[in-house]
Amino acid sequence: MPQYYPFLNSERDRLKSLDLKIDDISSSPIYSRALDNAAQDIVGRAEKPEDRDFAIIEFTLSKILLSIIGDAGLNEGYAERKSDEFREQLEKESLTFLIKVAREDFGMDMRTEDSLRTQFIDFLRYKPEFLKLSQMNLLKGYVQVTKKQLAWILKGAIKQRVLEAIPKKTKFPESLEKAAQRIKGKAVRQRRVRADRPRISRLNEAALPPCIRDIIIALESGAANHNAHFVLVTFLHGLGLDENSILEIFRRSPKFKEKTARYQIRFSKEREYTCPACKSVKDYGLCPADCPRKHPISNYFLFLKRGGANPRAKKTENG
Amino acid sequence: MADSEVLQTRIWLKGLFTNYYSNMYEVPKVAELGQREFGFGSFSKKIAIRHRAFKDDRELLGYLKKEAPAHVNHSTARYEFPGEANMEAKGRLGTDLIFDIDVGDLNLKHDHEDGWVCDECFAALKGEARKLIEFLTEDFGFAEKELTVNFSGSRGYHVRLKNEKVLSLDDSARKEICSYLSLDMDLEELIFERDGRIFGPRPDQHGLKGRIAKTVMEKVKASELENKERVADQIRDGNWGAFPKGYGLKRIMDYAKGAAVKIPVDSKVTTDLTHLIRMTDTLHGGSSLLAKTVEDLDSFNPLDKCFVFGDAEKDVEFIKETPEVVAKGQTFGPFEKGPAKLPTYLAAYLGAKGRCVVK
Repeated sequence: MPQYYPFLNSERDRLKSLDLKIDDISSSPIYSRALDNAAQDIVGRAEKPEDRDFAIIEFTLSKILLSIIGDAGLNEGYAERKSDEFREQLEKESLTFLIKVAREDFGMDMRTEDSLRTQFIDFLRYKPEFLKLSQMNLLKGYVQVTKKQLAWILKGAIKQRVLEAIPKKTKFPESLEKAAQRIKGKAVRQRRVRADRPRISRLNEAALPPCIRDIIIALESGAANHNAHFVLVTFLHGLGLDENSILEIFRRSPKFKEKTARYQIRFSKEREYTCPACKSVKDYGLCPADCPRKHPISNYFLFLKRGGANPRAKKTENG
Repeated sequence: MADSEVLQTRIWLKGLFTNYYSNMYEVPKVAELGQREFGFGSFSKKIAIRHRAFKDDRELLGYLKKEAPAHVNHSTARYEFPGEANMEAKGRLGTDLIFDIDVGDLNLKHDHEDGWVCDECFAALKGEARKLIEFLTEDFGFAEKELTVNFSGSRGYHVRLKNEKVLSLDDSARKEICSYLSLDMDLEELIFERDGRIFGPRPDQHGLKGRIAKTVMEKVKASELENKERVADQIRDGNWGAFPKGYGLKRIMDYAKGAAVKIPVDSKVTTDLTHLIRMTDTLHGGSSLLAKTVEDLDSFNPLDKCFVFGDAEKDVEFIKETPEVVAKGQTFGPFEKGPAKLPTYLAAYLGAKGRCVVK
């Protein structure tokens, strides 16, 4: 399946060369599927674009629809999700491609002589929250990064570009106005529910709330029960970890069976099970210590922000 | 001490400031002056007026001559409409990257009250400014010619960057820079235990990791620790577990944090995108000193270079016991409460600091 990157400068130029008028797109049946897909993309349910031209047309239409809807939270959620999708795609590309995108599409100052480095201002401008300058190798203004970290930095750049590319509200053709109104209520509702929590690519185990740490310890000894499995998998899904990353954690169990574990992870994802709140975790008998917040995921991000786990939780674990 | 004597001193200082600015023929250089918001203070309030804007040097010079403010500040930000009173309406275009090192943040334990700044305080400040410059050039890659250092006029130094790329950095990016400089971080990701062994950074690594390893090795070597040579050698290889018995992970982390180089920059100044900062080469109402641009940090001494008033003798009354002051190479005091005669520049310095009143 080919991957499309409609945010690239080359694609923008390509769109211009197609010489399409907004009225043509909105009135022609040829593009009705693109419009449907663009609308669905805003609520996260789009199908993959048919081809390169449709990818850029749909991407552009989504931004026009967002402009008509005029909801800043929805824009943010869309930009976050799309940029993260592109990050996942970019991670599968060659390093050369990533460097080319960074340099040519985002004007990033990269060094590749002895190691992969990005200028610290670009790093600070686009980096995800979990990457801290103080933890990086910084020399003469350049931060050493891995390919994966570069993909995350590009994600930040893409997100910014998506947000900046949402046009100012103006008068658009009626068909677009109607399409926007159709999805508006649904999209805003869904955005509220999802709240677009930032997704993480790697679990920082130092920031785990005590319940999850104890569940992982129990998992490693083969003692985790069904409820513990449920809390763990929904927690990891809630953080935005992908199937393989979650599978790696379950692999630590002496009872691990890949097929079963993969099925359970997918099942939980398909049913959209959410991680239970601390009160329920307590009811399951899995809560070893009080945390500042009422939900394991909120506690994780709080501890992550503080740079490590809740000291009280550590004390409990150490007895 | 009567309020009238304090008021009389302020009036006297105001006269000195007026005389100074009326003889000024060229306004100190401010980059993009027309895009800056200005704020001015009196001898009782550092910023009494703000949201002022000037279209050029001449207009600002006219204001300084007319008003002779005790404090002259301008925004670190550049605005489209700097004179707008509503911050949103100003239309911020970018903000300079500026660092402030203040003696109050150095945790110095000198034998005087907190508000006083002695020679050793000034020397320590200079040392911190040097370290900051080293971090900014070595780690952040700025050229020395991009950095301007100026004395704050009272108790610190400002380091300003002339670099267009930094203008767009937001407050969280600036906070990260401050955290890097002040080592405001958890060491758990740098020093950690795995399989019963303690690992940490190596001195050959770049950035903070290498700095931490180097300074800890130096501290270990200079310490009375048992097997200190071996401990230092092991750190060279990233093995931090050779510390003597009793040094667990936490104690080693505390040891590292205590040893590592950190620069106590005032993060509020750097991260506040709308901060008003003292204009260089203007007078400081709290000291009567000039917030002078520093050409050569090594030879710079504020109590040598930043006095601007003459040395005609002035009768004063000390209202607080005051430690010895070395000004323009000459030692004065210490002073008991009571009358004394001082050169005008020193009377202005100690009067502005509230140590004495003029007679």
